[in-house]
Amino acid sequence: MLKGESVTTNRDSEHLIKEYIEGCRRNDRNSQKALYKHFYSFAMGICLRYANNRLDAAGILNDSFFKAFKNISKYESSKAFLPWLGRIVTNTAIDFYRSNLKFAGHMDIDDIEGPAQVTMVYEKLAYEDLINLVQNLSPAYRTVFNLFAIDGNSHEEISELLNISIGTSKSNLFKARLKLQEMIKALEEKSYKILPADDHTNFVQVRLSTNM
Amino acid sequence: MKAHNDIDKLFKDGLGKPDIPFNELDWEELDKQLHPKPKRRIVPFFWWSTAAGIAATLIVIFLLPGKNNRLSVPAIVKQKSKYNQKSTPVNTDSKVEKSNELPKPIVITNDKTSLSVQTKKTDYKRTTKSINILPKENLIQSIAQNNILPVLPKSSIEFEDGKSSITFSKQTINTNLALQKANNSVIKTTKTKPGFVLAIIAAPDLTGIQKSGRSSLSGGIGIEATLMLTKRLSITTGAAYAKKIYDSDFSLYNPKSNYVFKNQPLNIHANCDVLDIPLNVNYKISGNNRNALILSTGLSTYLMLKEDYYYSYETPNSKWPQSYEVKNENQHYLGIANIGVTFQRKINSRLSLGITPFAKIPLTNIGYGNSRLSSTGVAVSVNMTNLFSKKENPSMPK
Repeated sequence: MLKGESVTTNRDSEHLIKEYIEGCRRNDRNSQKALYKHFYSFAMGICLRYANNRLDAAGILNDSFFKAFKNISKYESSKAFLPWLGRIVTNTAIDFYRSNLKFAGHMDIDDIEGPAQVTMVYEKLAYEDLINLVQNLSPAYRTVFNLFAIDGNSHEEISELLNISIGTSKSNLFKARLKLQEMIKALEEKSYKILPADDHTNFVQVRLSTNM
Repeated sequence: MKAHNDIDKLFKDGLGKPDIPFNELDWEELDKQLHPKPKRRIVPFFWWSTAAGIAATLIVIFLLPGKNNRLSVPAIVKQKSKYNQKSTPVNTDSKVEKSNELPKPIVITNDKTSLSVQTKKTDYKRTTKSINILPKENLIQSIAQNNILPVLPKSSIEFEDGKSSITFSKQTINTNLALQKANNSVIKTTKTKPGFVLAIIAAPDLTGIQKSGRSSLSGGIGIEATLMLTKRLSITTGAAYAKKIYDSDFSLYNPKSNYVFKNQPLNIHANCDVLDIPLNVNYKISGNNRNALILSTGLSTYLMLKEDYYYSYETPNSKWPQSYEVKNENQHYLGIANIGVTFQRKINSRLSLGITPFAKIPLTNIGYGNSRLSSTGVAVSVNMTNLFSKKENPSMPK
């Protein structure tokens, strides 16, 4: 489910994580914090993708860790911790927007039509840009896109997870991609407008900064 | 379809391996959910200390005068009962008999310890004997002879007048006893004439390092003594045990140590036990009988009893130093400026309550971390005036 994500997994850190988890079983605060810190980036990365904004993401993050710490006894130490935690985070994120997802079936047919499939050469976009784009999607589109494109679920799995039909899953994915493409295009156009600044460096920069 | 694959790949590559810096505030939120009790305990701690202070004051105030009452009240009862027993069946005979058995003189004035049933017996007999002989003036004379100040409460005298001779005599003996007590206290009050106020203080505050923009709940409890110099001016000193808990960025932590952190911590969490010895001057800006507004300013000495510093890193590693403890190493003599305004309200002649918004501003760097540690808070104080005087002699004739 969560292939591709990897946290530094040398022997030391694996050993450490085991220690932390043992501590968490004893409800030891320091171990909990250590584990939280260790997986913060990984888990927050998921939360940010599924959330509308950072505030919601932080809420999902803490809900997830809360569940994880409270149910740490259910974690089997023979298996890897990362996927276990990742599943909790994803499920918590889905739960968070469950109410919004109910409206996933009601879609505008207009959105599907239209000249979408322009092949683009994407510039290397920074993490911040990408996360902003994803967060701009509606929760229904975003959730399906996340589950399919990044977390690698099939439409069958998604339809079960979200309790929607496979068709809805597919169409939401389609629309999510469409939206993202539009947004990237808009972003690129914006950046092209600013591009001339490179030619007349000083002059334009001054003008730009006064405009800002 | 290619576009789709492209866009999926773009996001997957871009978002798959995030590198998001740890945010301590997020953890603090979760920590509150996971361990709600310790956070809550802090507040009751101050409530408890305040309550304890109030309780202690009440005990001091009501139990000490209460002893007087208890001594005299049962005495009366016992005497009365004896009187009834002995007078109802009889006449003067029995009384005389008894009195003959115990022909002690009337001098009870000096033995405080003998205020027991036994002495009361003798009192009784003695008095029954003397009743007929001693008119009121004589009694008062005898009181005077026995080195008792003529501070007879009016009420007791009236009481005497209104009673029959026998009860009268008992009553006077009782008042004698009470008088002795009152007498002693009168002497004490004259000794402590310059107003002396003892206060129990609970002071929750927000402590933080200046310019760090962060502060956390700390606080202290202590005792302060105030000496009234004039009606408006007084000086205060005392001792308070205070907790100073704060978080700060590592950049504001400057220990005088040769140790170099190979991996610099992000944040410092400090937990210090401090003995705060203030020396303040107070000026009463305004006030009436009940309320007073007092401006206080002065300097505090901090004796750092124990300092614990905990380091947090961007990426945790158990091999790096996690904490450091210093004990009794740093003293800051008069190194902290105090400023506060007290709103004081009198509850009765001995007791007043005060609320003091205050600030403690560092004049030097504080503690092992050499940080500009400042606190602002609100102190709640229970003030006890005339602690060592048992009675204010409200009925003293002018």
